[in-house]
Amino acid sequence: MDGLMYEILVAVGLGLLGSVLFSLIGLVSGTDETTTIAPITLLVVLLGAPPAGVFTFWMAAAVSKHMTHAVPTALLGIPGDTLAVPLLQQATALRNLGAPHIALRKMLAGAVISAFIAVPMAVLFAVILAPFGTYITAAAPWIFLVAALFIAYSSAGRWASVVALVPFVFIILAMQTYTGTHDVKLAICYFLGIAIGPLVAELISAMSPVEAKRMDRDAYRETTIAPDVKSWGGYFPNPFRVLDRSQTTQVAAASAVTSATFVFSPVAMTVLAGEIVGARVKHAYHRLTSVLSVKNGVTESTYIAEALIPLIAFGLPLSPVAAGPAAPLFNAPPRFTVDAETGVVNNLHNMMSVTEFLFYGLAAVAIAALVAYPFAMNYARSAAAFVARKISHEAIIGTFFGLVLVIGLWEGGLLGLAVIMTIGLVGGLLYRIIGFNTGVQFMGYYAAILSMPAILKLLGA
Amino acid sequence: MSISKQPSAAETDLAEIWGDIVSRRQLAISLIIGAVVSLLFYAVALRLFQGIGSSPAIDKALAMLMGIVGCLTGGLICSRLFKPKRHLSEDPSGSDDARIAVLQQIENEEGEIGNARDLPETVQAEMKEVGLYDLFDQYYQNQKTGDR
Repeated sequence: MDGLMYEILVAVGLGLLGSVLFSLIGLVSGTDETTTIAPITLLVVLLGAPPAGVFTFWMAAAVSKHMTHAVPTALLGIPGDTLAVPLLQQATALRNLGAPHIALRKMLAGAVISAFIAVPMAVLFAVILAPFGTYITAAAPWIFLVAALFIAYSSAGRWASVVALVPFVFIILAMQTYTGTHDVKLAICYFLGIAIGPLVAELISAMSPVEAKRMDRDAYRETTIAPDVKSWGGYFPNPFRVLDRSQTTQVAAASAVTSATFVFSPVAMTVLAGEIVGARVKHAYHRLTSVLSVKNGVTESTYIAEALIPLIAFGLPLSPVAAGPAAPLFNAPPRFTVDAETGVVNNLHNMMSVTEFLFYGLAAVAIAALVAYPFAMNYARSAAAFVARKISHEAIIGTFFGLVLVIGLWEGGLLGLAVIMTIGLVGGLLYRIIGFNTGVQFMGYYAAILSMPAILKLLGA
Repeated sequence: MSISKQPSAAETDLAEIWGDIVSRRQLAISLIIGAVVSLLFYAVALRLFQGIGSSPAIDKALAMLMGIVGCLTGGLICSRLFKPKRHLSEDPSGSDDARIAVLQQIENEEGEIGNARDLPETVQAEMKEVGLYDLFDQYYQNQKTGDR
């Protein structure tokens, strides 16, 4: 039993670390989930954390970030990350009415309730799907091809993204072949290049006179911060009191339903759930608060389900979240691998049982509820003001730049850095210009390493 | 643009990069600091940790961890050196006129305001606590009489 106790302690410790770290990162506006969660999780995997620890870290990180991302969204009017963008309209309306604290509380309460519901629901759906797992792994190369095309079409770029997949896959194949001639086999550099692509593209664009007109500014960013209003006693406001009964029901229903729709993009599901609920609420104030609680609840449930279901049922990253921010849970060579030829996987799917996924999943949500939730409820205003006043964007970019250099050199030396730059620039520009987002790019990477060998075999080449 | 609102002379090279505003010169220095500090940490750790773990791969992973500590150190130095390019002001929290404008905007973008008196007791109580009940109610009642 000592072994089990040790395992639980390590998992809880890493969960706490993930929660504290990403509660803070959530406060910094504009920190995209994939760019921040994927590389740091990768680090945790590669440093040898036990499977349950890796999983708890990721879950606590993702759930916490989608709580504290409500702080800049509600108080500063700047979206905290990609999934906070659909919340901005309602949050801004409440902020302009002088009630940003209400927006914040509704979002947080929705998040915490939704996260607790999503874990068991996702495990349930995964168990239902698991019997089909063997067929799915056997057909993995083809499923990835279909999934890549599907996720490309559901991205903002639509058909443009589908077409762009072809050259993107060939760039990856070409680079793999080239680094192969120098006996360098890379995987993490591709991940990191895709994840950090938007930043690489922005930095290189900033050097171009052609892009100066788009990027140049002549004034500081004007931000107003809302006054502080605290109207509850104690440290831990009860989420069931923050939401009224109809809102609790709506959050629970939306969370359960969006736990099943794991192949769709989380942003799309967030917008959709908000629209469905918004259409049913007659009064404007009640509509604003209901839509905010449901939408932020869905940012949690989609992330949880889209990581858990593919992880438990298939071991293959078959969802936008699994292919993006959760990618290191599936594939982090040499530790976690997805075999190119056979579709045989060796990752958390094989290393943890269903019961363990359920247990550590709930533990991660509980950790986030104990760390991020009361933190954001009580210190939202001072935290938002501190970040806006003290942490310059230059410092954030400098930190990520250092991170990329260290990990790139560590995996592949100068060739690794070249791969990150190439994938980053190409992917980042394709994202900005035609909407070929990072999720599609991750699928493109899998299509290159999994589907292409099968296609070539079929063609007899 | 009025002269008083102009940023200080050293910061006329502002640009919006990756979602927020930076000074180009200060960003360039930050990138150099970020690179030098993190690589220095990594390189020194690579030397120091040689043979410390049970395999070369673990030595290298530990060195990478020190490299990450280096990134954070670099970021800390940059945040000491360079101030954020944001003006943060206290929200005046809106006059009634401004709030009514918000209600009009909500009506245009998201549909009807609705009758607050039809809402469940708990929601009405919440609106009163926040101090928005009268605003919404009066807007709705005025609109109703205006329609007639």
